[in-house]
Amino acid sequence: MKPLLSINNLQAEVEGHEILKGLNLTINPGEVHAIMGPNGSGKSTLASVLAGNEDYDVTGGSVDFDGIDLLDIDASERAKEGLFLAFQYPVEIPGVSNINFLRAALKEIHEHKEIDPLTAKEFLAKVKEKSALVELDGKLTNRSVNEGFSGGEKKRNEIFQMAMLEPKMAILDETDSGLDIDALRIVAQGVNAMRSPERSFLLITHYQRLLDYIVPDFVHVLYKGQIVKSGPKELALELEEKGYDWIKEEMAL
Amino acid sequence: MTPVQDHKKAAFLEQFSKDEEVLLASLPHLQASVKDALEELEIPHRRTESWKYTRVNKIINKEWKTGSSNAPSSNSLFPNWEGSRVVLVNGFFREDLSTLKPEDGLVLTSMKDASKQHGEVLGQHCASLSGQKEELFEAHNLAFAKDGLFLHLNKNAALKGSILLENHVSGQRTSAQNRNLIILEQGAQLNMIVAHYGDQEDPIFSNDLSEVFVGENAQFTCDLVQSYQGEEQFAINTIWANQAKNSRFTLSTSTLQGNWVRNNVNVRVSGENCETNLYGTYQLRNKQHVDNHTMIDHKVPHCESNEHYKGILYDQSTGVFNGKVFVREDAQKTNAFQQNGNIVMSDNASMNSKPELEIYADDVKCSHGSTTGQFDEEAVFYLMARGISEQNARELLVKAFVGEVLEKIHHPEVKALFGEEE
Ligand SMILES: Nc1ncnc2c1ncn2[C@@H]1O[C@H](COP(=O)(O)OP(=O)(O)OP(=O)(O)O)[C@@H](O)[C@H]1O
Ligand SMILES: [Mg+2]
Repeated sequence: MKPLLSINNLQAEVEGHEILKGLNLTINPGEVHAIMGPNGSGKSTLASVLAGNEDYDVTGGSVDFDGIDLLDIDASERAKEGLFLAFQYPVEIPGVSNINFLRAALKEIHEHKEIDPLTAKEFLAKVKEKSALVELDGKLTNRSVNEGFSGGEKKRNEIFQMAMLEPKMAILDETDSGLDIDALRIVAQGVNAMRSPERSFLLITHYQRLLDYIVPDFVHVLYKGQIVKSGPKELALELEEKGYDWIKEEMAL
Repeated sequence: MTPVQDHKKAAFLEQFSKDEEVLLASLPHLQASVKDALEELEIPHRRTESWKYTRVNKIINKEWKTGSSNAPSSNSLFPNWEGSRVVLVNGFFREDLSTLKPEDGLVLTSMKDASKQHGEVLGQHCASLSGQKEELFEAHNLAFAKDGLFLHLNKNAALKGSILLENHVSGQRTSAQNRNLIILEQGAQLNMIVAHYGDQEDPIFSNDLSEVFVGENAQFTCDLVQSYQGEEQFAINTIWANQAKNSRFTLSTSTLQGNWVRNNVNVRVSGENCETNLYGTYQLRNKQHVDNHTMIDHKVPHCESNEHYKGILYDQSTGVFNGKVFVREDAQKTNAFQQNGNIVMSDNASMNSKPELEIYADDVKCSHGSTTGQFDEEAVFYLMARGISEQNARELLVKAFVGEVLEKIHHPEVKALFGEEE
């Protein structure tokens, strides 16, 4: 099988600090991977670099996304190619309505793919369907992007946007943190409903709990800017039980 | 005043003709005070509080000649306008270029004609609000203005459509100073678009002044649009308004282009239960400079004012906002809200924003605020991460920022200039 995403010896720094130190990861179509790791190990940095945040300087390595040199194109083009990032901390954008910006985004994505734009009616039907999927209140879809949303509403809004844009690959950065039990279940349902043989997920999380709902094919540990351990879903249970010290010790050996 | 300044001022004023044609010739009761003012008032300089951030040397030190009424008038921003259109060229009323739809209760003519046919009304109102005794350029306008628009709406007259007033100034080193008088009698309603064009690239100096009298229960709504295209174009736009009780005055000012623009908006709220709304937007590029000075004077109780100006400064542009709100001792139960927000897009652009609230009454609700910040790059990235191109993302955010003010613009034709859907 041809991998959907292959990250090769990726190195990145921010303001002169080296954060990613030669990271390797391969994700095949349809797979769900989970990344865990201590605070500050570089998980969000990886997500940002993949999504094209220019605050981070890539100093080495390569990323191939479905045959495209991902590092060669900007954030908007990456999204158009089918990469999606659900942010750990979604920003509030006063004055830009959720609906209008999604309409604009879909329009650009369709242009890029050279497929017909949605009619106004189709678009609204899609909004209705996808917001129902994550049980996002209709009022929220019409408000300014994330403005005044609760923490949980922001996370649901991220999943709603993912459902609208139907990416090939979605990176979810701690989408589970800050969610109550019901919301967690709803978000997980949304993700599971989107699982398909072509679509892959990269879940960044601190908690095994999310992985009870969205069962991963692989679990990786990111530590000091590298993937230091990979394993089946049981690895997450082991981490939950034992913490990261044993891995740090293994590393020291 | 130093002898040098004195000399400069004299040389500047010398260029403007004082012939029989000036409106002042038919306003004998004002002549002495204008003469005194021109002699006594200083050229605004760095220490003149109200001109601190806007230099006038470039106007004073240049040569100007009075523009011709026959100068060409260039394209309009409103080519498809179907209502009444009033065209002034270099400050002169051009009946041939205007399309006037007669309406009940409306008198619309040139100031030149009004000084003959409506001399009494004109004499009573003209220069009764404006500040020619305090401001050199207002005295200058009164001394040398030759024409302008005279608009009088009778009691309870409500026009079917809006009136578009277009001001063109063109011709090398042309100066234009026109004076408009707008009178709304009790219960009258008027909607206007006022457009200012600095045509072509000609160096021009436009000093335009309007006095607006909003009678009891009357409503005045105006969208002002400024587009001065040339580099050496200087424009002073002054509006004085007086509101009688239960009236509404709403003005939006959109500066689309302008290398040197000074707007003065002064509203005296003289009657109870009035509503005053002032809105403004500017998006400045290159070395453009726009200065918005506003003053709302609450003299009586139970009135409300809303003021909201928002702007974006790119490149090496500079902006000034100064908003004075007076709430006099008697003006209890006043609600006065004022806000100025700016985004500075470049290290070389700058904004001087100063809200000035002076409150002498104790039972009032007043708030004011001023923010000047950078563009939210995180928001740009967020939008891009959803597939929106960088340019579109930035445009979306700019629109969102000024959107709050744009939505207050009354005429869809003016909103459309910002690419808003009608
Ligand atoms: N813009 C930045 N400026 C300076 N340092 C940064 C910046 N962004 C990230 N870092 C640093 O990079 C390191 C990795 O941060 P990152 O956010 O990727 O960690 P993380 O694994 O996502 O942590 P958490 O589990 O707490 O979310 C941290 O030490 C962080 O302080
Ligand atoms: Mg993180």
